[in-house]
Amino acid sequence: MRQETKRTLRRFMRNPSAIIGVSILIMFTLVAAFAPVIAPPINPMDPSRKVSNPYIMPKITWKAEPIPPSSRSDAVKEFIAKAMKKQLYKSKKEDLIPVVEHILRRARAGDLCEAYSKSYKIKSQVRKKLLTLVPELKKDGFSDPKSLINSYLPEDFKIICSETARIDGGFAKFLKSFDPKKMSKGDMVKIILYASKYLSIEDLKEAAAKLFKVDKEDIYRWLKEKKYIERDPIRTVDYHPFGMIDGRDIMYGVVWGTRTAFRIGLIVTFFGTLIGLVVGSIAGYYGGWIDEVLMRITDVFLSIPFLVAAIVLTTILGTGLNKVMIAMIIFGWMGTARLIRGNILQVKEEQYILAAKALGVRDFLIIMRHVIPNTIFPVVIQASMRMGSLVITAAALSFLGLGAPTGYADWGSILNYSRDWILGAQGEAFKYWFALTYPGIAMVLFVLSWNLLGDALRDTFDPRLRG
Amino acid sequence: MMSVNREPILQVKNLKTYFYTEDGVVRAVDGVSFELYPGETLGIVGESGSGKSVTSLSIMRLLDEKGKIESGEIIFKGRDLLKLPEHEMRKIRGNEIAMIFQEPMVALNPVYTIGDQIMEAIMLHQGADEKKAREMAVDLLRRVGIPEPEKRVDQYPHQLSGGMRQRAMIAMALSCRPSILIADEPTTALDVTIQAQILDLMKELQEEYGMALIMITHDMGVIAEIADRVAVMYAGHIVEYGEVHEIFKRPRHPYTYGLLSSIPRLDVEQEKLKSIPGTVPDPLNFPTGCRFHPRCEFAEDRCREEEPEMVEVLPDHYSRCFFWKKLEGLEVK
Ligand SMILES: Nc1ncnc2c1ncn2[C@@H]1O[C@H](COP(=O)(O)OP(=O)(O)OP(=O)(O)O)[C@@H](O)[C@H]1O
Ligand code: SF4
Ligand SMILES: [Mg+2]
Repeated sequence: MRQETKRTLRRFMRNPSAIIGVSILIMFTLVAAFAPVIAPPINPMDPSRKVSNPYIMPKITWKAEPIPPSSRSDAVKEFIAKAMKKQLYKSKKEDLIPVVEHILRRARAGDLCEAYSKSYKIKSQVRKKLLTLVPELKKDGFSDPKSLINSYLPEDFKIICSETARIDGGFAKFLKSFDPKKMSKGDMVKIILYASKYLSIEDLKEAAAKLFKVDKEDIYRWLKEKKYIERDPIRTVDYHPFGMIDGRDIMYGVVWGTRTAFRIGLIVTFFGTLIGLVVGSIAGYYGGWIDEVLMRITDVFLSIPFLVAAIVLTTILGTGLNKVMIAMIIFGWMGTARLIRGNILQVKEEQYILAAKALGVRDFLIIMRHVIPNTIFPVVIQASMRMGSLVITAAALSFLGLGAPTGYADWGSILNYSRDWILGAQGEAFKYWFALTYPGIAMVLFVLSWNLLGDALRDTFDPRLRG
Repeated sequence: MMSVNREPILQVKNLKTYFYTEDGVVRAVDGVSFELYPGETLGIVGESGSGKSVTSLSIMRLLDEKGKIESGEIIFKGRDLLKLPEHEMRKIRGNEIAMIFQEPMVALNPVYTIGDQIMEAIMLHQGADEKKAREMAVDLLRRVGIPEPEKRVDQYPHQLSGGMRQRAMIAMALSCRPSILIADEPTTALDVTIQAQILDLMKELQEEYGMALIMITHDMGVIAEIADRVAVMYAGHIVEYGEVHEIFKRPRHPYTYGLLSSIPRLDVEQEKLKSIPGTVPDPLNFPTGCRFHPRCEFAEDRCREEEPEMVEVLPDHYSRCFFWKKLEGLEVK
């Protein structure tokens, strides 16, 4: 028995489609497992704020939850002014505004703060100053700014840098080599874009104007020209290698979408197959009127076009990924039911069943030893093939706007989200190719790998096909 | 081999098996009686659809839901099998009466090694543990002439040739040393040289195990080769029944006569192979009177109206024909 298992495994591993399919699947599994490392979710560091759902692709534009400057307390404003005048002014760097803004908004401020303070040897002062601001910061909506400041101002700059590197390689590099005198245009773009995650457009304009000594409106025009402000895909940034669409990082979506794909595939396949198995085997095994009733029900379900059914169901249940999954389960079990019923009917007639009966084997053992093994493999194979195609169906539903909400990390949703850019620009059909290509490639590979796996399973485990 | 004085090990009396189909009642077996004596070989011969397989499945009580045994008795070692509860019957299947099938390709489960399948029966009826059962399976495979049994025991049916599969089936059937083996056309699906080998093997094993054999076939040649006595079936009836040499020499039923004449022979020059004209009647709608009359060259008016009974035309030689005397003096060419 064990020898046979080994042999089967060896046969499986020698099958080229198994190797390809399994490798791709392993890759996807790793991506799904390490999604938080590959594409770290941007959470507010302040623990009192609600941790956002990592499956919602963060919108990385300066429009992202900007705190209007007017709502800032006077003390904070004053600090900014003082900071600019005093210690920081010594280094002639009023460009600390974005830094301080940053500190006041997000915990990652520590990184920037450290970088600046290192460059200008004012670390301790900045820190001290910040600590005096604790009560004001509290008023500004931060529940525990002291520990926030402390924890993000560690003594060793290297730690900060490595920490930053973990978050954002491009930006860490930038920090390490930060020297405003030598700063290039490219670096400016980087800092602007980085700041864009946290600053309002007004703040940014101001910061940029101060930092680069350019006219505010020039900056704005430039940004607009480069499509950084308008709702438009961008594909410029080092640390968004797959490009961005409307402020959302496609790579983030593709990486977290892997988890979504697995979730949809596994849950829907599991429950769909289970329902199909129960219905099909009851119908096939008992036959007679039970079979008749169950199969007519199956026919009714089959006769409803899936997309129409899904649309109707989501209008009843409401849209959303879970609703789509429910719809896919409710209208996705018939294939399995028919398959298992047909197989049981066929196997029941097989002569080896008669031969086993002629040897005096009991009914129960005949079902367990002879019927099930000859009927279950096609179901398993079908299930693994369905894993892939389900993701396509879910994507289609998301594309129709029935599935995941806007910005959800789901390949289909990304495609839906980037629908406006799919056709490209005037005269430049492939201008926004990345909007389709990366999620598309992910989807194709996912479906392909499950199909290859299904094929390989059939080749190896279905002894009837063995050569 | 034949011994009228001995007690028969199996006695089928007036067996009627009907199938209740949507089109009507199929009288597949309609009053069949025969005896089987220990150690002998009874051949059951007849054209396709004459009810041979249904007879054997009735003995095993393995008919599907549509098939019903209407009446009759099947006495095995003094007990009527038709009256046994199912669990008692299961102990008889495989253990006392075993069966091998026509298609060795489909009578073995494709997902198990042949070793597993032979062991299943051994472990079931003899309570042997896995190791012991495996040894026995290897021995059996060697006994039925499968080369390298230690290797073959772990192979799947599709890895064996047709002949080897049939040998494996025989090994499986013999695993519990049954006292009766029913072989339903065991060689039909095999090519001629392999057929001869399998028949020789069965003869050998029959002698070695001392079991009685019911050989079902449509091939008179096979009967001549292996059987001691023969029952000729036509349309759910046994039409002629007796000792093989006797029947081959002195057929007393026109159907048997036809069957024998249609065997190709080398020693006699034949211009054309003779065959029985017409086809087997529709079992839903048997002809009235003698069921063979539409194809019978000796038929008279009486045959169309009255059904002939089984009569002992010679000692231990029975025929179901009014005009068996017409065949006296006729020689099988
Ligand atoms: N399960 C069944 N349901 C309905 N009719 C059946 C069934 N099994 C057999 N029959 C009918 O019973 C008759 C006898 O069939 P049987 O299988 O005994 O023939 P046979 O003599 O074994 O022929 P063959 O040489 O083809 O095996 C046939 O007419 C067949 O149609
Ligand atoms: S009874 Fe009549 S029809 Fe029937 S076999 Fe004899 S001669 Fe032919
Ligand atoms: Mg048959």
